[in-house]
Amino acid sequence: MKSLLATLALTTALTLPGLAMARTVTLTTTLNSYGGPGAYLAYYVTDASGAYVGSLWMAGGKSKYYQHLRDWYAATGGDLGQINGITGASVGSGRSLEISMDLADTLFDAGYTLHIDSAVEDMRESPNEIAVPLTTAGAGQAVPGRRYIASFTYQ
Amino acid sequence: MKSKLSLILTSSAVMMTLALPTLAAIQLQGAGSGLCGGICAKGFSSDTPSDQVIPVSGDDDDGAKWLRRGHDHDDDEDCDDDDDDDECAGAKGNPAPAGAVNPPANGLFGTGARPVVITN
Repeated sequence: MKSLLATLALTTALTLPGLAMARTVTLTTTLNSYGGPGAYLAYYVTDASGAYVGSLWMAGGKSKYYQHLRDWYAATGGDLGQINGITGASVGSGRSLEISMDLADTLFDAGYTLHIDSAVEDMRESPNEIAVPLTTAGAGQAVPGRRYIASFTYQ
Repeated sequence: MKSKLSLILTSSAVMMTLALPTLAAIQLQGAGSGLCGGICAKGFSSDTPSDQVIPVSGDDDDGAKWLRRGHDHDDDEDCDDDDDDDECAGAKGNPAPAGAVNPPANGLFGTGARPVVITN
Protein backbone atom coordinates (compact mmCIF):
# COMPACT_ATOMS: atom_id res chain seq x y z
CA MET A 1 0.00 0.00 0.00
CA LYS A 2 2.78 2.38 0.89
CA SER A 3 4.59 1.65 -2.35
CA LEU A 4 1.39 2.31 -4.29
CA LEU A 5 0.96 5.68 -2.59
CA ALA A 6 4.57 6.51 -3.20
CA THR A 7 4.21 5.66 -6.89
CA LEU A 8 1.06 7.76 -7.13
CA ALA A 9 2.75 10.70 -5.46
CA LEU A 10 5.75 10.39 -7.73
CA THR A 11 3.73 10.25 -10.94
CA THR A 12 1.62 13.18 -9.80
CA ALA A 13 4.71 15.18 -9.00
CA LEU A 14 6.16 14.44 -12.39
CA THR A 15 2.95 15.17 -14.29
CA LEU A 16 1.83 18.41 -12.66
CA PRO A 17 4.72 20.60 -13.80
CA GLY A 18 4.17 19.47 -17.36
CA LEU A 19 0.50 20.40 -17.20
CA ALA A 20 1.33 23.72 -15.65
CA MET A 21 3.76 24.55 -18.48
CA ALA A 22 1.21 24.05 -21.26
CA ARG A 23 -2.26 25.28 -22.03
CA THR A 24 -4.80 24.16 -24.57
CA VAL A 25 -5.30 26.94 -27.07
CA THR A 26 -7.93 26.98 -29.79
CA LEU A 27 -7.13 28.89 -32.96
CA THR A 28 -10.27 29.78 -34.90
CA THR A 29 -9.98 31.13 -38.42
CA THR A 30 -13.03 32.10 -40.45
CA LEU A 31 -12.57 32.76 -44.14
CA ASN A 32 -14.37 35.24 -46.34
CA SER A 33 -16.51 33.94 -49.17
CA TYR A 34 -13.91 34.84 -51.76
CA GLY A 35 -15.34 32.38 -54.28
CA GLY A 36 -12.22 30.40 -55.09
CA PRO A 37 -10.76 27.02 -54.24
CA GLY A 38 -9.47 26.09 -50.78
CA ALA A 39 -7.05 28.48 -49.15
CA TYR A 40 -3.60 27.46 -47.98
CA LEU A 41 -2.82 28.90 -44.55
CA ALA A 42 0.50 28.83 -42.72
CA TYR A 43 0.49 29.53 -38.98
CA TYR A 44 3.85 30.36 -37.49
CA VAL A 45 5.43 32.23 -34.63
CA THR A 46 8.16 34.85 -34.51
CA ASP A 47 9.94 36.15 -31.44
CA ALA A 48 10.27 39.73 -30.23
CA SER A 49 13.03 40.42 -32.74
CA GLY A 50 10.91 39.13 -35.62
CA ALA A 51 12.91 35.94 -36.04
CA TYR A 52 11.07 32.80 -37.03
CA VAL A 53 10.62 30.42 -34.09
CA GLY A 54 8.46 27.63 -35.46
CA SER A 55 5.27 26.61 -37.17
CA LEU A 56 1.97 25.81 -35.50
CA TRP A 57 -0.13 24.58 -38.41
CA MET A 58 -0.20 24.25 -42.17
CA ALA A 59 -3.57 24.10 -43.92
CA GLY A 60 -2.91 22.56 -47.31
CA GLY A 61 -1.03 19.38 -48.03
CA LYS A 62 0.81 19.96 -51.28
CA SER A 63 4.32 21.22 -50.81
CA LYS A 64 4.60 22.52 -54.35
CA TYR A 65 2.28 25.36 -53.42
CA TYR A 66 4.07 26.41 -50.24
CA GLN A 67 6.16 28.95 -52.13
CA HIS A 68 2.99 31.05 -52.33
CA LEU A 69 2.92 31.33 -48.54
CA ARG A 70 5.64 33.81 -49.10
CA ASP A 71 6.80 34.90 -45.67
CA TRP A 72 6.58 31.41 -44.20
CA TYR A 73 8.51 30.07 -47.16
CA ALA A 74 11.15 32.76 -46.84
CA ALA A 75 11.59 31.95 -43.16
CA THR A 76 11.73 28.18 -43.54
CA GLY A 77 12.96 27.60 -47.07
CA GLY A 78 9.96 25.31 -47.42
CA ASP A 79 11.41 22.84 -44.92
CA LEU A 80 8.79 20.12 -44.51
CA GLY A 81 10.31 19.13 -41.18
CA GLN A 82 8.75 22.29 -39.78
CA ILE A 83 5.22 21.07 -40.47
CA ASN A 84 5.34 17.29 -40.24
CA GLY A 85 2.47 16.21 -38.03
CA ILE A 86 0.80 19.62 -38.07
CA THR A 87 -0.53 19.67 -41.61
CA GLY A 88 -4.16 19.37 -42.65
CA ALA A 89 -6.44 20.13 -45.56
CA SER A 90 -6.83 23.54 -47.12
CA VAL A 91 -9.82 25.59 -45.99
CA GLY A 92 -12.73 26.30 -48.31
CA SER A 93 -14.17 29.69 -49.11
CA GLY A 94 -16.52 30.86 -46.38
CA ARG A 95 -15.53 28.07 -44.02
CA SER A 96 -13.88 28.13 -40.64
CA LEU A 97 -11.01 26.15 -39.23
CA GLU A 98 -10.70 25.40 -35.54
CA ILE A 99 -7.44 23.97 -34.24
CA SER A 100 -7.00 22.98 -30.61
CA MET A 101 -3.44 22.37 -29.48
CA ASP A 102 -1.32 22.35 -26.37
CA LEU A 103 0.97 25.34 -26.49
CA ALA A 104 3.82 26.16 -24.15
CA ASP A 105 2.97 28.75 -21.52
CA THR A 106 6.19 30.53 -22.30
CA LEU A 107 4.72 31.68 -25.62
CA PHE A 108 2.33 34.08 -23.95
CA ASP A 109 3.16 37.58 -22.78
CA ALA A 110 6.74 37.12 -23.88
CA GLY A 111 6.86 39.12 -27.12
CA TYR A 112 5.92 36.32 -29.49
CA THR A 113 3.71 37.01 -32.50
CA LEU A 114 1.51 34.57 -34.36
CA HIS A 115 1.41 35.08 -38.12
CA ILE A 116 -0.82 33.63 -40.81
CA ASP A 117 0.15 33.65 -44.48
CA SER A 118 -2.57 32.76 -46.94
CA ALA A 119 -2.80 31.97 -50.63
CA VAL A 120 -5.48 30.74 -53.00
CA GLU A 121 -5.01 29.13 -56.37
CA ASP A 122 -5.42 31.56 -59.27
CA MET A 123 -5.78 34.41 -56.81
CA ARG A 124 -3.43 36.72 -55.03
CA GLU A 125 -1.03 35.71 -52.31
CA SER A 126 -1.53 37.29 -48.94
CA PRO A 127 1.59 37.00 -46.80
CA ASN A 128 1.34 37.99 -43.16
CA GLU A 129 -2.41 38.41 -43.44
CA ILE A 130 -2.68 38.06 -39.69
CA ALA A 131 -0.05 39.15 -37.19
CA VAL A 132 -1.26 39.04 -33.62
CA PRO A 133 0.82 39.24 -30.43
CA LEU A 134 0.35 36.23 -28.19
CA THR A 135 -0.84 37.74 -24.95
CA THR A 136 -3.22 36.64 -22.24
CA ALA A 137 -5.20 39.84 -22.73
CA GLY A 138 -5.54 39.24 -26.46
CA ALA A 139 -7.23 35.88 -26.02
CA GLY A 140 -10.74 35.81 -27.41
CA GLN A 141 -10.41 39.05 -29.34
CA ALA A 142 -11.23 38.72 -33.03
CA VAL A 143 -8.65 40.07 -35.44
CA PRO A 144 -9.71 40.83 -39.04
CA GLY A 145 -7.64 39.71 -42.01
CA ARG A 146 -6.90 41.67 -45.16
CA ARG A 147 -7.94 39.40 -47.99
CA TYR A 148 -9.13 35.84 -47.40
CA ILE A 149 -9.46 35.74 -43.61
CA ALA A 150 -12.59 37.33 -42.21
CA SER A 151 -11.49 36.91 -38.59
CA PHE A 152 -9.04 35.09 -36.36
CA THR A 153 -9.18 34.42 -32.65
CA TYR A 154 -7.18 32.39 -30.15
CA GLN A 155 -8.37 31.44 -26.71
CA MET B 1 3.66 42.24 -129.54
CA LYS B 2 3.70 45.08 -127.09
CA SER B 3 0.47 43.94 -125.56
CA LYS B 4 1.86 40.42 -125.08
CA LEU B 5 4.99 41.78 -123.49
CA SER B 6 3.03 44.00 -121.16
CA LEU B 7 0.77 41.06 -120.25
CA ILE B 8 3.78 38.91 -119.37
CA LEU B 9 5.31 41.71 -117.31
CA THR B 10 2.05 42.33 -115.46
CA SER B 11 1.52 38.68 -114.65
CA SER B 12 5.14 38.37 -113.52
CA ALA B 13 4.74 41.37 -111.27
CA VAL B 14 1.57 39.94 -109.73
CA MET B 15 3.21 36.57 -109.17
CA MET B 16 6.23 38.17 -107.53
CA THR B 17 4.01 40.25 -105.31
CA LEU B 18 2.18 37.17 -104.13
CA ALA B 19 5.15 34.84 -103.91
CA LEU B 20 7.73 37.00 -102.18
CA PRO B 21 6.08 37.20 -98.73
CA THR B 22 5.47 33.44 -98.77
CA LEU B 23 9.08 32.71 -99.64
CA ALA B 24 10.31 35.07 -96.98
CA ALA B 25 8.14 33.41 -94.35
CA ILE B 26 9.39 29.95 -95.28
CA GLN B 27 13.00 31.11 -95.04
CA LEU B 28 12.46 32.81 -91.68
CA GLN B 29 10.86 29.73 -90.19
CA GLY B 30 13.77 27.62 -91.35
CA ALA B 31 16.31 30.04 -89.96
CA GLY B 32 14.43 30.22 -86.64
CA SER B 33 14.35 26.51 -86.06
CA GLY B 34 17.99 26.32 -87.01
CA LEU B 35 18.95 28.93 -84.46
CA CYS B 36 17.12 27.75 -81.39
CA GLY B 37 16.23 24.20 -82.28
CA GLY B 38 14.48 22.27 -79.56
CA ILE B 39 13.69 25.20 -77.33
CA CYS B 40 11.73 26.97 -80.05
CA ALA B 41 10.06 23.75 -81.08
CA LYS B 42 8.98 23.20 -77.47
CA GLY B 43 7.92 26.77 -77.05
CA PHE B 44 5.99 27.25 -80.23
CA SER B 45 4.69 23.90 -81.26
CA SER B 46 3.16 22.59 -78.06
CA ASP B 47 -0.61 22.35 -78.16
CA THR B 48 -1.04 21.09 -74.63
CA PRO B 49 -0.60 23.75 -71.99
CA SER B 50 2.07 23.11 -69.42
CA ASP B 51 1.01 23.01 -65.78
CA GLN B 52 3.47 25.34 -64.23
CA VAL B 53 2.80 27.53 -61.24
CA ILE B 54 4.01 30.95 -62.23
CA PRO B 55 4.12 33.75 -59.69
CA VAL B 56 3.87 37.10 -61.35
CA SER B 57 4.12 40.46 -59.71
CA GLY B 58 0.87 42.07 -58.82
CA ASP B 59 -0.41 45.55 -58.57
CA ASP B 60 -0.62 45.41 -54.81
CA ASP B 61 2.22 45.70 -52.43
CA ASP B 62 1.37 42.44 -50.81
CA GLY B 63 1.10 39.84 -53.38
CA ALA B 64 2.04 38.08 -56.50
CA LYS B 65 -0.72 36.20 -58.16
CA TRP B 66 -0.92 32.46 -57.85
CA LEU B 67 -1.24 31.84 -61.57
CA ARG B 68 -1.52 28.37 -62.98
CA ARG B 69 -1.65 27.54 -66.63
CA GLY B 70 -3.36 24.41 -67.86
CA HIS B 71 -5.46 23.92 -64.79
CA ASP B 72 -7.22 20.94 -66.32
CA HIS B 73 -4.08 19.12 -67.36
CA ASP B 74 -2.01 18.12 -64.37
CA ASP B 75 0.71 15.69 -65.12
CA ASP B 76 3.32 16.57 -62.57
CA GLU B 77 1.80 14.61 -59.74
CA ASP B 78 -0.30 11.55 -59.42
CA CYS B 79 -2.93 13.30 -57.41
CA ASP B 80 -5.42 15.80 -58.68
CA ASP B 81 -4.83 19.45 -57.98
CA ASP B 82 -8.40 20.31 -57.30
CA ASP B 83 -9.59 20.91 -53.79
CA ASP B 84 -9.20 17.57 -51.99
CA ASP B 85 -5.79 17.44 -50.43
CA ASP B 86 -6.29 14.24 -48.56
CA GLU B 87 -5.62 12.08 -51.56
CA CYS B 88 -2.14 13.53 -51.78
CA ALA B 89 -1.31 13.05 -48.14
CA GLY B 90 1.06 10.19 -48.76
CA ALA B 91 2.64 11.62 -51.86
CA LYS B 92 6.36 11.91 -51.90
CA GLY B 93 7.58 15.37 -51.02
CA ASN B 94 4.55 16.38 -49.01
CA PRO B 95 4.59 16.80 -45.22
CA ALA B 96 3.24 14.12 -42.91
CA PRO B 97 -0.37 14.92 -42.09
CA ALA B 98 -1.53 15.62 -38.56
CA GLY B 99 -2.02 12.43 -36.64
CA ALA B 100 0.55 10.50 -38.63
CA VAL B 101 3.47 11.70 -36.54
CA ASN B 102 3.96 13.90 -33.49
CA PRO B 103 4.22 17.67 -33.93
CA PRO B 104 7.76 18.95 -34.43
CA ALA B 105 9.83 19.56 -31.32
CA ASN B 106 10.11 23.29 -31.94
CA GLY B 107 9.43 24.35 -28.37
CA LEU B 108 6.00 25.74 -29.19
CA PHE B 109 4.00 22.70 -28.22
CA GLY B 110 3.68 22.12 -24.51
CA THR B 111 3.12 18.42 -24.21
CA GLY B 112 3.61 17.15 -27.72
CA ALA B 113 -0.06 16.21 -27.88
CA ARG B 114 -1.43 16.04 -31.39
CA PRO B 115 -3.66 18.96 -32.43
CA VAL B 116 -7.39 18.48 -32.87
CA VAL B 117 -8.90 20.07 -35.94
CA ILE B 118 -12.49 20.89 -36.82
CA THR B 119 -13.50 22.40 -40.14
CA ASN B 120 -16.97 23.88 -40.51
